[in-house]
Amino acid sequence: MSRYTLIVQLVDAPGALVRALSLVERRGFRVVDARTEGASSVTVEVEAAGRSLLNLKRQLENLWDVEGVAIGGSG
Amino acid sequence: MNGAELLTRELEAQGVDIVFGYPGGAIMPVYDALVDSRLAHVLTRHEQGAALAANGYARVTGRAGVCLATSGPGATNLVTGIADAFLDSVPLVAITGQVPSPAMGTDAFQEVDTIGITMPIVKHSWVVRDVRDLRDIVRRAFVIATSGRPGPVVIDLPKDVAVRAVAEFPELRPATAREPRIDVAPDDEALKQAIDLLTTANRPVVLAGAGVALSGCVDAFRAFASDYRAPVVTTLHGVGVLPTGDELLLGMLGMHGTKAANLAVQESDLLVCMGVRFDDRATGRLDEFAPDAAVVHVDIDPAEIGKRRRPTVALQGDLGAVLHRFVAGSPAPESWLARCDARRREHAWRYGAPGEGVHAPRLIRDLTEATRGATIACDVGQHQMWVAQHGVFERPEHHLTSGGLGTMGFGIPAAIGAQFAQPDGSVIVFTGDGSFMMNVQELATIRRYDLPVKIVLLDNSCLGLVRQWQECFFDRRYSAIDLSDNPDFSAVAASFGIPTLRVTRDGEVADAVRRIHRSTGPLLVWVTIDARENVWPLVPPDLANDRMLEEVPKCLDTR
Ligand SMILES: Cc1ncc(C[n+]2csc(CCOP(=O)(O)OP(=O)(O)O)c2C)c(N)n1
Repeated sequence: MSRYTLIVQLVDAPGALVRALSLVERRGFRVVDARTEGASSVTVEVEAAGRSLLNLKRQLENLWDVEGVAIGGSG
Repeated sequence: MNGAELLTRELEAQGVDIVFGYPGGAIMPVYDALVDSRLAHVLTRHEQGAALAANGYARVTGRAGVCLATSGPGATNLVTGIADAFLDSVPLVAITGQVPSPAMGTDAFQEVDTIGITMPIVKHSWVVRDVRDLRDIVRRAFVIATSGRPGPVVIDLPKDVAVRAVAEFPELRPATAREPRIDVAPDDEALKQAIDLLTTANRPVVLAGAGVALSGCVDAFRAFASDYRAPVVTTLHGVGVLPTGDELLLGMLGMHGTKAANLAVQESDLLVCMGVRFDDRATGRLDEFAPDAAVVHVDIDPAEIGKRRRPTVALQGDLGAVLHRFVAGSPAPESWLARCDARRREHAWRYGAPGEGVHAPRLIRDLTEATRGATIACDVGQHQMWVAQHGVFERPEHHLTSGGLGTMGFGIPAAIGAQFAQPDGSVIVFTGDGSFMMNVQELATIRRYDLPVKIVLLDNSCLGLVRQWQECFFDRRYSAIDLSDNPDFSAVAASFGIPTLRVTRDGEVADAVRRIHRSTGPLLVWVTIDARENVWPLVPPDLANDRMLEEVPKCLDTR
């Protein structure tokens, strides 16, 4: 099981946070921790085995209320 | 003007001329606005029918289909049609009524969280909280549904917002969602690498998927294929990218693919993949799929690149731009094409089935041959696979099939949408006795609008595809597949005012084909077929694509 950190920039819109977090779970990652900074950014710690983080990043970037995704350190 | 009127005007402004739907309490203001609007409304007999008809309409036109439903059960009934559009990348705008804003979150009558329920199966969705946002939401809904990789969106409209008065031309208030990124030029360096691979490959195969038609690139694809002269295989949604019978075409790959296609892919040293997503039904066992092939993957959706198979060269962007550059490359080795072609001839379909009974594959071939250019919709099951294998197709847009979701009940509503999209076109739907009953109520829609849809019902008195799996992989322990108590389908059709042509013997097929071709109104062609017929070849689940079965295995239990 690997652990990663993602910093997701969000549009300030209703549902944006839920949409991003539920996508993370749906794509096979477990959300271990999530910290918002205002309405427009969330730092998410995720855990997964055998899943591509790059692919998750691209899935998130496809969301219309996600402005961008950065990958932080892995642990 | 109120919110509902503003909505219908904005739909008109988006070029929408037809919406498919079903009324109810929370959407009534919109139905009231429809009375004075230029939009044609098609009343289906179930909201799933509306969503799938809009879906079929969109597949044929390439424009967004629009469906309408009320809150609660109306919205939940749309869900299958929305999911179908999501998995097959079909542009769909679903508009749902919602309980008034103050009642939201109180478990009000017919309240469900439509946005929450549909969140995993839409590109984007909105609750319209303020009527001043409505114009921009509608505008964006269409942009998002149709741009990049198309897909469904949902607009949930609370009743109080729908009846709220608005100024005649409210100014556009930007809604919350970023502007679409329409960056589509593929990377130059990657293009060069891809062209190098194309030029040096000894055993290249081109794999074409849904993206070829979705990107409007069928003609460009054909130009590339005829220049490059490599064998072409298709996914289920790629069927028709080259016309049936084209010398380069080896057929569909995957679970029910042709031997020629599956073996060529497994032996290839280069797979040029265009608008495909490496679906498990197409790849078979992924770690043994095209084991020796370098992969060039072209797709508009960055999230598809490397999702299931890591490409050697990734070209994220518009297929048209890539094809344009590929045309300059040099042709594939003649000897490889000759080898694939020899195998294609060796494993060509044989239609000489013995006996008096109707041979469904031959019927499908004969009918689609006689009606070339018709739009062929199908349902889900053995008949769907036979259509993909044996149907004669000129273009991929002529083949409407629920590939990703595999939605039984898709065929008839999709055919209805297709017929509205091309009122003078010929639309035929192949269905099974299981699938037919899933949206049988839409016969009333066919009759009401006098749509000349031809329904070919291949009746094997069972859930054939499930039966086949139980026969092959569950030791013939048949469970819940018997439909021998089906109704009298001709009486069912007659009760909807639709005539039936009965076909029970092979000798009747030729006449039936002629009569279908000549008939000007709706028609049910009820064909009895043998329940023991199976779809071959079949790659058992989780085996490599070269492990094709052509008969029921002696002992293979994959549970
Ligand atoms: C809505 C839905 N429910 C269940 C299934 C699973 N399923 C796939 S094929 C099939 C049997 C289809 O039977 P029929 O329409 O008679 O076609 P046949 O296989 O006999 O040609 C079933 C139940 C499905 N794909 N869709």
